[in-house]
Amino acid sequence: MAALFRAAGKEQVRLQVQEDRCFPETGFLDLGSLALQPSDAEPGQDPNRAIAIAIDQGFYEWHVAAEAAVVEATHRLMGLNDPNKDEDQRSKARRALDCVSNVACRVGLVHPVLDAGSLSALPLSKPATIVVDTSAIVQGGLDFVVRFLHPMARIKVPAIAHMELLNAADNYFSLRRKKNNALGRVLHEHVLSQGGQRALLRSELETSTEIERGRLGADPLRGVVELGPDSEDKRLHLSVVQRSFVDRLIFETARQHATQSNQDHRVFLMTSDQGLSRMTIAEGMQPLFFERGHLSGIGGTVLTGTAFHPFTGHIYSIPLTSLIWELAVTFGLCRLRCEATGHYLDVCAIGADLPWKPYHTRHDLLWMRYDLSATTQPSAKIPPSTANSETVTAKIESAASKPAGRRSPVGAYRFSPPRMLHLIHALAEKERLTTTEVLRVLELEKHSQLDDYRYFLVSGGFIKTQEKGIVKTESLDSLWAAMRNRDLTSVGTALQRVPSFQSFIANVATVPPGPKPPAGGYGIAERAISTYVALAEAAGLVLSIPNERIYSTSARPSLEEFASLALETYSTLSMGTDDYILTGLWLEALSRDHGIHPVIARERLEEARLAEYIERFAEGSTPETRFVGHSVSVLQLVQGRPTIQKVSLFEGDFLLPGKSSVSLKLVKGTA
Amino acid sequence: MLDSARLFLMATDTKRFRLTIWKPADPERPLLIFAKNGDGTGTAHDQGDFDFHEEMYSWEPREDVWLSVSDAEDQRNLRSLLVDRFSPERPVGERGIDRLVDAMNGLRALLTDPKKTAWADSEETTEVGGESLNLRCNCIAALQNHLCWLYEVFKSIPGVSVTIR
Repeated sequence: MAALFRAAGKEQVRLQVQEDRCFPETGFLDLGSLALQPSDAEPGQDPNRAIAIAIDQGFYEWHVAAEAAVVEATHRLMGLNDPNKDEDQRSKARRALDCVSNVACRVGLVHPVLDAGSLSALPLSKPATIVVDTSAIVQGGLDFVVRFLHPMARIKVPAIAHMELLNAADNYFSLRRKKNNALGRVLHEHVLSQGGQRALLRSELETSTEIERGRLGADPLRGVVELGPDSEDKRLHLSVVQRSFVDRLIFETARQHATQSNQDHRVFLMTSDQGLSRMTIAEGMQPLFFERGHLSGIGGTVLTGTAFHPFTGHIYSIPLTSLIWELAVTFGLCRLRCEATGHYLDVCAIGADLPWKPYHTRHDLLWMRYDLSATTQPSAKIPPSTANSETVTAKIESAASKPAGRRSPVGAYRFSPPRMLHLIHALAEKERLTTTEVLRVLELEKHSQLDDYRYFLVSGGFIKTQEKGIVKTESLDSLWAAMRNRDLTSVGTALQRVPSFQSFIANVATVPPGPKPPAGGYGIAERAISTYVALAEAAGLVLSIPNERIYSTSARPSLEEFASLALETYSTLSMGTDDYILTGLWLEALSRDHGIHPVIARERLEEARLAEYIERFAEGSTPETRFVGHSVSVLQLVQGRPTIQKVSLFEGDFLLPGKSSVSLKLVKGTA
Repeated sequence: MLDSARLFLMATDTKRFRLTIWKPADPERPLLIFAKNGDGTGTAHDQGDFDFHEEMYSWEPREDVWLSVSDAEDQRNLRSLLVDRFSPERPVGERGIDRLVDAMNGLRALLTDPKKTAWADSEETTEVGGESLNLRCNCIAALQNHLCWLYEVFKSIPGVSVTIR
């Protein structure tokens, strides 16, 4: 992203969105322009750093497109050109566009327009509980409370609100699968359900929001979505969600909490629904009412990524990535595009070719695709399969979803693995290190050079950052112990606590057979590939073969299975003869064809020989120069300290240390 | 009656920018205003002799909001539009919340010309990569957005007035 803004210079960067069912493949809805406001780079400083800081810290302006232009463009993109014939769908599309205002409210660029009397009672002077309804979740009320009123305000999200959004999501996917032509409705269901689910997911992953469920025993929720055997349920026709009943259950959640709290503990019900608000007043409880957000409220304005706190007057910041993330989830795709350079960056949340994988259960993940190679305006969106420039599909982790003003240490990182082991060793010895000590251990000079080391360890939970340094966690001790014992399984498991490393391993395992995948095919940024390959090879998880690709080597065959595979591979390479073959070829073939890492192959071969499954013969000769570079990173102990070293697979001493075993012959043993 | 008691308290500290929104006070019980004389005696006044207003919202940015205005003349004009127009000495009727629209228009006009305002380092800091970093802000744009929000929230309350000091 920084590269895109840097290349754009003073040129405008447009903020656009796309909904893949409602808009044509080449059609993007323009939501205005972005102007980054970085500080001047200091002499010798990486110019991208100032831009990256501006992105992270909210130093930008969003010149929001005028409402009329957005509405007109939407109708045009959706083919809703006839005001009479398309009246119904145009109306739904128009309502859906109010979600742009909701997005701005959820990320904190604007605030919900609260009831004046309620605002005058804020910020809360005593602990209170705020129960939110679905409208408050979707339209930014929940985020306002989390951002500005928490922790004095305890937050309750009724389970029925989750279910209402889940129903909306189900409606949306049903419409999507049926290829429904009611495009206005599809757009509305998309932005409502996905935006709402995103708000809930963020509040769950990043805040201390409690989730309040319905009363036990009565189990009212079951009756809302499924017809039970109870005759009363049948009379009420509760097989579909009844809107008023949902409101009632939300109110009941608030009232139940009020009855369980101390008398002086106030409970508010936050909503933009007039009916629910009036019912709340009538039932003797205080609503926290706010007006529904409209696109007209922000159309044509300039919103800034740093703003004043509404109560304290301090400045808080909204990372640009937060805005892009929210728009991507709400519409399905968000694009930053510089018209002058033709560069673009897409952040996608949904698409026919984007899978949902198990690691999505741990982090809210999106896909990123960019093209920074064009020098002229691209004619159309470039799909991943046909892109002729560097088009990357990569999972980016929740950097965007961090709370405003805080930096989240996630992503894919590039660093020197041997130096990283020095740092881990130092931490294992000393528990905590100051920034100066870390610089000395890593033999680095600049603070900025520490970032990748530190964020890798933080994202895996190996360290915690403190004001002037870092402190280790128990996970780091476990990792270090596993390394000292050369317990590759434990090392691999520990390293996969780092989300991007886990993503890399998962992607290597799922890349389809064939030639090297396109850039980004391994799920992490290209700059970090060499680092992750070295770590994963050292953990016995992958092997990178030059001019081919990276192979997953997580297979751990039994001795008998290994002996069979080893002899079969030898036989294939020697073409059925009993000639010597190159050791490196045999090791690479085991990795390529059977997923057995060279280190595992070396250990098993020795065990198989001792168990008399295999007879092994080695022969020394001059290594062939054509295989220079065919090596593997291995975890070794040097003077009792783990270190990562590159070892050639073709020079002979890998299989039998101290001996030249360039060529190999295997014979079936007697066992 | 604590809220009503606050009616009498007008902050005396002179911060750079302090915005307060008031509504006509409606105390549940009648008030007796007892004005102290210099000799320790006092004079009782009836509540009806006074026009009481109750604070609804008070806000004070921690930054110098004028910092982002490039030109001194613009700064003077803006200060006049905001501080002078909403001076507490002015009658309530002259500083109703509807007058805030003029101030917002003035801010918007300034923001339409990129040369007239600029982003600047604020006094607030955050830590980035172990180093302290001053947050940058266009205070005029941030102030404009904040005033727009307040206007939308309070515009429909009868008799609401604003003071800026």
